[in-house]
Amino acid sequence: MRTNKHNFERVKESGGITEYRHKINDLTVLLLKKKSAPVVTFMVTYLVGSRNEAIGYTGSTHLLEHLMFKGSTRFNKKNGTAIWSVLQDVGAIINATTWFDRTNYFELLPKEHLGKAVQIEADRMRSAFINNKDRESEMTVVRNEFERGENDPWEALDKNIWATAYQAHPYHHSTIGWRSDIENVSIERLKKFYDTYYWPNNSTISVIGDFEIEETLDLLDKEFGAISKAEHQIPKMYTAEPKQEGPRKVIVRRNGEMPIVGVAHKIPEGRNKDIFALQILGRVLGNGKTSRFYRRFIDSGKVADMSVWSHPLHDNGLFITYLFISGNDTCEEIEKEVLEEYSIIQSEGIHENELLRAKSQIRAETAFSRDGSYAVASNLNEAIALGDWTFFTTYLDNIKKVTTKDVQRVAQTYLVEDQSTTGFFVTHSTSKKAKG
Amino acid sequence: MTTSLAKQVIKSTPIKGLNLYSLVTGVDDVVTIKGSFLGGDLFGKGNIIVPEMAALMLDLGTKKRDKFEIGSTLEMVGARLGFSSGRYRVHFSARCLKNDIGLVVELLSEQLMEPAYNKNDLQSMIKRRKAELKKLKEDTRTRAIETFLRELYPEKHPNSPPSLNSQINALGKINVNDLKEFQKKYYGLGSFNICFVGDVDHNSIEQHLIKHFDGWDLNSTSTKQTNKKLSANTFGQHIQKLEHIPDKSSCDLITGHGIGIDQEQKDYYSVMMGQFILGGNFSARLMSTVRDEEGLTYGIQSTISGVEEGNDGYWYIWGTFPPEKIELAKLSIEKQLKLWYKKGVTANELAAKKATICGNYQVGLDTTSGLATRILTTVQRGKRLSFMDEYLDIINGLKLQKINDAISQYCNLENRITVIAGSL
Repeated sequence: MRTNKHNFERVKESGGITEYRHKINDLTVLLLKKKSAPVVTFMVTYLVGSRNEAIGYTGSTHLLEHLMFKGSTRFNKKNGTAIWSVLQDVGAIINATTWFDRTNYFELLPKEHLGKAVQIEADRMRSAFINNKDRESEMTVVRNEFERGENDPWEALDKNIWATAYQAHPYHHSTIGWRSDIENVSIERLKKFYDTYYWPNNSTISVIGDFEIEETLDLLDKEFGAISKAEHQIPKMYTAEPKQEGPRKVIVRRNGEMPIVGVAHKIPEGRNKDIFALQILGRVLGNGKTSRFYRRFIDSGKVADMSVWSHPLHDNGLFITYLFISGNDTCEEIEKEVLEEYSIIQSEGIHENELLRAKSQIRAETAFSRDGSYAVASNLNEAIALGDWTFFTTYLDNIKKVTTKDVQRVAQTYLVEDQSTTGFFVTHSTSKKAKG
Repeated sequence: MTTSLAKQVIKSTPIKGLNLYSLVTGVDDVVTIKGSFLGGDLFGKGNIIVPEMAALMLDLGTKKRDKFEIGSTLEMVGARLGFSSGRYRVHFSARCLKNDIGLVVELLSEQLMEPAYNKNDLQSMIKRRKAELKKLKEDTRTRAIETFLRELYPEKHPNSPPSLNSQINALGKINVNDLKEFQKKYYGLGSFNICFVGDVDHNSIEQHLIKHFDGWDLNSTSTKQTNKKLSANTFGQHIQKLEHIPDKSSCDLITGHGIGIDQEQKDYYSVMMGQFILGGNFSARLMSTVRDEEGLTYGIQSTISGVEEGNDGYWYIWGTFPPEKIELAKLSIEKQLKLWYKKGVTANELAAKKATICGNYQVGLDTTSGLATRILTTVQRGKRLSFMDEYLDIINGLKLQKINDAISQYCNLENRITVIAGSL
């Protein structure tokens, strides 16, 4: 009979995933054993993202994420143990991502090398170098990432829509930040960010794949258990977006070939029950050939591509429809048709068949989301970010409860003019035509 | 799955000209289907856009069901099925739950064998595709690679892509009869490979395939119908081209040349490993110097491509840079290239990258999609399934001296083309 050597206690289980909490430093651990392939995904999610930034240091979470690869006490270039080399040399897929509500570092690697990923993440949680020499070289790397994004007209429009929809709340700025902040943020500010948020009690570890539970908890305790929890309270982001009292519009005008329309509406925070009906609404409007926007825009050739986006976030998010115009319609005409379709759903609701189709799509997508350890980790990461990892495991059950009435009600509640922000990407040639 | 992947794959030929591959994994309920057959872009003889449009139009209705009925049938079970046209092959891929395999196979066969090729749908598709191609004209990476390849290869070479403008022009000259004729001539059994990975049962899949594909035309489409005996252009010097695109804050730079061999030549893996050490991943030389030390780029890599079907391939470095840093970037790349070319790679680098590739191979087993792709690319290449396992032996058997000899023999920094696309 094995006696536990580690300091983790079991908290709860949902959908095959078990949550543990470290008794000393409050580190949360989520484990899902899957032996379908001899690989494992190891991921650390920190509850810090661009929503924790403010003017002068927008993009800091992301820049800090880059600096986290520059080395730590045990793993660095000077020692011949650079993070990328140690992990890529064993065939690991390794990276990190930053978004509004979280930053995550992950390794998908052969199971026998799990220990390396654990050691590296434990070491850089509190012992990353974060120095100015690295900031100077990495700032220009990140600036090129920003510049690459700016090359894309859709990305430029998307940034402008969020910046217009949010005046006070930090979803106002994109995760990559404003260019001048990327260039000028000080190393002291980045270090302060690191020292404020990178602690065991502000992070969740996920281990998915082919591993042994008790051995892994022992390993995690050995590497992370010695790190103390933060002596300070992790600061809460308290800025709430004031009530929007009228429609907002923004235009981005550049050289380009294809006009784009974005129609956005404010929706509630990710843990609100209305999110599930909004997910169905998004599919009815824009997913597949039977969707309303496909029939209206793609089939007619008016639009080359479209998407309806309503990702649940920690705080109030946006429900956005994007349409890439291929025909001769103006942005205004396309916007009018989008709003007309919203209005039809608000007054008539959706058909039972549409609901069934959307639920079937989500049922299959939920199964697909468990194909591979990284797929599970990635979905889990977003659920952790919105404040409840069981959002992932209970998602399908919540979707099953949605009725056609719910979908009509959320369309009536949220897709309203006063909560809207419309953005147009207008090319110089199309704006000349409109004037002509 | 730790010993031999090939031994776990079941292969059969339920119908003449159709090879079936299946692999059971530990995933619940999920199935990935991937397949292909010859009939891709290079088979277009009159109008270059016909093969692509023939494939893209496959999911816009059949003689029995219109596009909405097909869409609804798939969506009601949450399945996805899509088609695309590659240089040589028409590709299809699907994802579904295990109980819906029969339905997906039925739709797949119907869409491939009896496409509607409706006139109105074609007009709508042409409109959308023209807009997409116009949009690509402002994409810095697309423009850089297009110019690079069109300069590097003569027009009829399989690695020379048609220009965006010629594709837009060709769209204006097609009709549904072109698509019907093309489909009738090239689509069919013969070179047809289909692979099912996930929660699958080989015997029941065979029955579905026999039920829905038996009797389809057996054709003799061959890559010999496309291959031209042409070689990459040589320049005798390092030439540079600029593609100006307004309002772009980042440029794409591509530099490289033809290597004169395909992937079946004995030196291919040595050249590939040399390139991988130069710029195959983040810990390779280019990223660790041009990005990590000098901060000049968000991304830079070195790759070999165009080596399939006996074609003389090419290597190239691709990176993105702000316009004001482009001269510094060129100097930095030249420095690394000269070092690599003159001094070769080291034993430590080779050992590390061998481990990387072997580990990547194991990590690739993580998803049904990754496994299906691996099986399909192996058989498309004309290899036996055992090649999937032998590949690691080939990598582990590579010798340092051979790699450095291959770099000297197949790379020539003076016979090179560099293209920069952006707002310069």
